[in-house]
Amino acid sequence: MNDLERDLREVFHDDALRVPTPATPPEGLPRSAHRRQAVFLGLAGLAGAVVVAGVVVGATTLLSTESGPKPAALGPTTTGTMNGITITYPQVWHLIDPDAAALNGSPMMGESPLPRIVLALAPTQAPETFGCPGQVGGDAAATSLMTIQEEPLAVGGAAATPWPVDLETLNVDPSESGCYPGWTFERAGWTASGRTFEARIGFAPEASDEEHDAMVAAFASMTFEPSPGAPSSVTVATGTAGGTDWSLIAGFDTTGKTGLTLTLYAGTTGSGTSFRSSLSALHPFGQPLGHGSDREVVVYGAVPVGVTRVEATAADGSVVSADVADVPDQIDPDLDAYALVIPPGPADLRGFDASGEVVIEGTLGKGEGLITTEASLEDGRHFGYVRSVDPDRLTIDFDLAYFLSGKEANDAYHAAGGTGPVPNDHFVVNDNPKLRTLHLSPDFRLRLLDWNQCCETFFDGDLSLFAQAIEQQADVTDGDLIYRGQSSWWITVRDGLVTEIEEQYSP
Amino acid sequence: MSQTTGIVRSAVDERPDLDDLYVRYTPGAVRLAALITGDPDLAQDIAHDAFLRSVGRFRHLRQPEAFEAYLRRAVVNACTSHFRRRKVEAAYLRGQSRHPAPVDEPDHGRRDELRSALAALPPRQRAAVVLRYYADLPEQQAGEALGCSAAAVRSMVARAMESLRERIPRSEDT
Repeated sequence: MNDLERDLREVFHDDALRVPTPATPPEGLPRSAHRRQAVFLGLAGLAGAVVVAGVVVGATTLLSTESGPKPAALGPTTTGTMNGITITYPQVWHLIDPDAAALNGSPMMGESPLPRIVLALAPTQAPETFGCPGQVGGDAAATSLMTIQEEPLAVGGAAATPWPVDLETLNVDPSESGCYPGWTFERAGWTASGRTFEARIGFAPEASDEEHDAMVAAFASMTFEPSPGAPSSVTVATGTAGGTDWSLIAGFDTTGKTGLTLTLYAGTTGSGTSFRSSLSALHPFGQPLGHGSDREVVVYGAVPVGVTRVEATAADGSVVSADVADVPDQIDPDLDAYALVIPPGPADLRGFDASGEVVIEGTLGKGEGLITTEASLEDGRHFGYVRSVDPDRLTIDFDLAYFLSGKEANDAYHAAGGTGPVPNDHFVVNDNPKLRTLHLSPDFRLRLLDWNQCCETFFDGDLSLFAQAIEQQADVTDGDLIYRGQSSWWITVRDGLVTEIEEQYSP
Repeated sequence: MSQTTGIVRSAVDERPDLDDLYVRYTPGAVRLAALITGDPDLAQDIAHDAFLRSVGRFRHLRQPEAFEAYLRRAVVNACTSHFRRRKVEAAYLRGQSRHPAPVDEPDHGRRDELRSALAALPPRQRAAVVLRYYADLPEQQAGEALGCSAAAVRSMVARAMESLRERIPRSEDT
């Protein structure tokens, strides 16, 4: 830490201590919360009503944009369809479009489209249902609700259970239940028509038996249409490590160049990488979870089809093994996936075939696997763009791309709408915005073009000046030598570490 | 060793109500807002409003651990919105713009210079610095609060630090 960082921390710390903070909640907080939610969701609810009216099939009543108490008598039912789910429910209830009601939020950069709430059902409109219904009280508040969330396709575990399924009690964490005091929750997970779902249903203490029965009947009435096309993501393994739930998702690499992409989601974060179909060794990735003595590492990666079990020997000598999870052929016909939970530290991994023979091996790096927690690339030479450099941590953020020449370049150029021969006989394809944080080898070499003796002479560059040029996206000079901030690069990866960065000449 | 199949949720007997949530999370939100805006009074309003925005978003019912992150993001959004509004107001109310005054007791020397330099940073750069050096968030989480990538956070912090160094010539990093 330098002086400036230290001063910043001290100033922030001191100033924060002087900030008066509330020791008690303001009077009428629950009603404030409800009013705020009514304003916040009012427009969304109105828009949702319009959208839902457009997609509900066979509904006998159009949704009202008004909010207010609903009749106690549930009366006749109606049937509607939303996002491929058809459901029968009391006519006086509301099928709510989750997107219009802002339940899915705004997608973050790189966020997967799944999981996504695809259906909501409640006796009340969105503002009363998704504000703080348990705190508002009175006739206007929701007393029950159901949401259906679509998950990446589960190929194993409880979520792969075929529909129909029974609801089970859900114990809700304290931070979840502030708006729903005294409510009881139920859940169920299942797979139907090639799609995986999770339902969560909540009941207020004042919910009547009739309301409860109607909600459960609506849940049981659901039928599901398949998604168009093959599944783009699949949950291949789930578990808990260091007190944190994790799930391993297999999906397409959207560039179509590297095949399988594995992403480990734990808590609110995700990390992952892509794998080429031809693996000669295991290239495990480690995600540490938990703190102190609870700390554990989820080790995951891809294996060639035919490997049935992966075993890891951890630094403390313990041996952990797990069966390999099947990755659907639609995603990658040549690779499957594995995940293990091991103690912190390096580990040796072995992959076994059905006869028990070791057919592939690999090593998780030292330092709890931190080297591989962020991302890596297979050993070899890769083209792309360096988006940032951290000289202190010895890392780069690398945007993998494809440098094509000859016929490939011409074909890609024409596919992209170009006419005539591709300029300069090369074409770069960079469809995937994903950045990989890669660690540099301690003896890493930076080879930059000497533009004074263009264009096959290189000099060994300084990492700090390189970082400066990349950050500024501009040329930085060191005497006669030029560090180009907007160039493209070839990186060489050995054992998961970048051993060389070499500048690509471009006129 | 932990299990490797099935998602486990811990059973919780005691369920805090909305007041408990407020007391638990709002003080931190007020401090964060105060450091970004430099205005403790405004920070109270921002944190309160952000809490009300976040608490009913329902999404956290499926991501219990995410409530604090949602609140933090709401605070940062509200702070940067405030600066946008203030910029518009300043165009009409020339000479009446509010300068951040974060502390009751003025400090002296380098720290005062640092506070002035912080106040002069663009709002998102200032928020990025606060998230990194006050909240101690990793770049990924700071990016989630700011609605940008970790690389963008790194860039914003680097630019902010560069500006701070330029404005505090006596700074000699070691």
